[in-house]
Amino acid sequence: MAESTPVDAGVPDRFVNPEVPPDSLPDPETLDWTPLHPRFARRCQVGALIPALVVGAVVGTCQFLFFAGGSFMAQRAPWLPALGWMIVGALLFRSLVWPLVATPRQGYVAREKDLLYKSGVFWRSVQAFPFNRIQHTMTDSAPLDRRFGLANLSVFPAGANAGHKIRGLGEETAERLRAYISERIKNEAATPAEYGHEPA
Amino acid sequence: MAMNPHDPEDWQRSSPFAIVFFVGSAFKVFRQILIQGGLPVVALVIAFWDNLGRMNVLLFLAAAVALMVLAGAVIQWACFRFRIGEDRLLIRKGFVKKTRVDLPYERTLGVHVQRSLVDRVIGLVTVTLDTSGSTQAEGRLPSIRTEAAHRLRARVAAALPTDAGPDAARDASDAADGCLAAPSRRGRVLIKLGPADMVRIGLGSRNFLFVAATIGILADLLQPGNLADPIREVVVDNATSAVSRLGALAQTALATMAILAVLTTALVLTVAAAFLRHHAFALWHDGSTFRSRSGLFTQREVVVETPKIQQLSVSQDIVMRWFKRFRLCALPAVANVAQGGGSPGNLDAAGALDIPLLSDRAVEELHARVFGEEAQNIAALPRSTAFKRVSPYYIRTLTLRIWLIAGLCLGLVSLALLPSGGFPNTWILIGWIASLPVAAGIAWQVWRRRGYARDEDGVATRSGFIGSKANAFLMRKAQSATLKQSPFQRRKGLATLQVQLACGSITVPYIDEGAARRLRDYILYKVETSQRRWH
Repeated sequence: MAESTPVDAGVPDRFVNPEVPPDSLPDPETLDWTPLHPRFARRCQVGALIPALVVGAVVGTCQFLFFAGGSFMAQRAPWLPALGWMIVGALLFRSLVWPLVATPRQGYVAREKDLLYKSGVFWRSVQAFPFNRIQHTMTDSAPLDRRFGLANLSVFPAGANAGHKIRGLGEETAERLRAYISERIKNEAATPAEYGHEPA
Repeated sequence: MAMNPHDPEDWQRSSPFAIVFFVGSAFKVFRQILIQGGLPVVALVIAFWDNLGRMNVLLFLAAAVALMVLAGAVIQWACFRFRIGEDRLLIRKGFVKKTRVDLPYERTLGVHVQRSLVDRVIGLVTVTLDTSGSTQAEGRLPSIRTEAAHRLRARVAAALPTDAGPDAARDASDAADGCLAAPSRRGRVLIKLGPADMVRIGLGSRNFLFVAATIGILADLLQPGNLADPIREVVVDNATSAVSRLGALAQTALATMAILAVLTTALVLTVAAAFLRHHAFALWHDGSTFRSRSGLFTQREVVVETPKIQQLSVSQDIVMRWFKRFRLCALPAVANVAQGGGSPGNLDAAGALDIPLLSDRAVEELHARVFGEEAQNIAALPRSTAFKRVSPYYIRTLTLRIWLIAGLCLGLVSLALLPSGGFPNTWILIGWIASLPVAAGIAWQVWRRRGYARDEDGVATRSGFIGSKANAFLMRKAQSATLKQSPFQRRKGLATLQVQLACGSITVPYIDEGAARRLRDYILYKVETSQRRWH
């Protein structure tokens, strides 16, 4: 085995990297989180209501077709329709109540160097996306989003194929945020220091 | 058949032998269609099943499909053109949907050369350009001439920015030229593996038990009642049979022999597989690139630029521990990471530099070479004492998780047995409750292996159950960071930190909330102030 050679990935002499006391770092938890668009909760309710209604229609049709008056299924599994309606009820409840609980706990904040996004009611998470690692950005909106004047913003760091989506921004906010991030990405890329020519 | 040898700058075609490759890709497309539209096919088979006369129709259909795949492959080959330009590789392909791929050399992460048996006989190579941010198969040139491969590699080597300037680029291009011809010009040999190492790799292979089990099942199928019964006796109730029926000594001996035969066959097979894949493994290092080559029939050559390596995984399972050897995988950024973070150590990821067997000193040396001056104090080996344990509350959560999953499985089993009334539910319940200590034991073992370590520039994590694995990365190469907290973690002041890299994600579970937050902020600080390229 050969003895180790000098470093390959050379660090230029002018590159300085002072140590930072960890306590002096900015703390994202004390940030002013921007809430999502106020109409987003309503949009989630409607979005979840549609599948719940579809399931309800399916259950109703099945009951009408297979469980009418002492049929074979009605004798074998009389509890099945009740179970179906319970599931429909749970779906309806969830679609109406859950968005009211979940959306106030989501939020984002765009800082100078990164974008933070928090979400989760029980299992909470805070995601951080540094601008100089974002490859590209994308906004999109489904018909339902447009109906409520909303749009979603996705950021794509390397390695994340589907990107990370921030849902429920106002159309204008999403566009402004996307433009801001693109601007930041360009700035970071324009820094002539890719190989270590540290600006003064 | 024009390979157009006159002007190398012009559009070129790959050799007709590439049709073999296109058959493969056409078949993949067809298989996807088959899986998506699988239901009608299954219905068709079932419809024809009882009427064997009509099976001919099915056979005819299969032949038609094979012909279509072949025709598709020939058309694909005929439409495939590539051009090795000054600063980019251009590919034109497609018959119905025309595609034009433009791959600037600067964007490539590495060049991989693969030679299948056919390629080697004919003297051709298959070259793949690894690019970031695009699907992986885009830059693949199947069965092209060696000269074209040389030129491509030289161009890529010249285009890649190296710290040492044009000299290094020239060296690299020289090395690229020589890499298919003269082994002496590929830089310094770091690791070479011989036949004895192949045996070790085969022994340490994870497939060993799987292969043994498969052979056992096959033997069982081939000789019902003859071979399998003694095996079952020994495996399932060896304790009772050995104690209570001493008279069955001969039977036991037979069973032992049968098991030994199965294990020996499995061993031979796995060692053969190791030879097939890793024969004459060699790792070279010159300036800024690592290059490995191995394989008995299909020769695989992987070239990875040191700055593009995102993560180092060092793993050691129980057999490797016995040999005091490790396996190291250097993962460059890949475009096709499974969604959801998946397994960062997906060791078969294409483009990864996989060193199947190396000593602890070699691991440390490679660490030093890859990370350069950064992260020199980071723990490289899984058994390093630098690793800090995660909170013991992790055991509780994991125990509950394993136990609940086991309960779910048992519940499904009891539901399945319900109509036959086979198994009393109370026993299943008792079994489930009794499995709690087992779950706790597993969780404890996993917790013991879990750990993390950090220095100024890098983070290392350790995980494993029977074996153990250490992942290390440079903080400045992180892509994003996520801090997660469950209700239980919030109550205990703990948090889970997940760092996404360009090759997957790394999780540090159940550490102190403040520490996790500080580490996350420090990683962000490192990323955001870093002026160096991450790939």
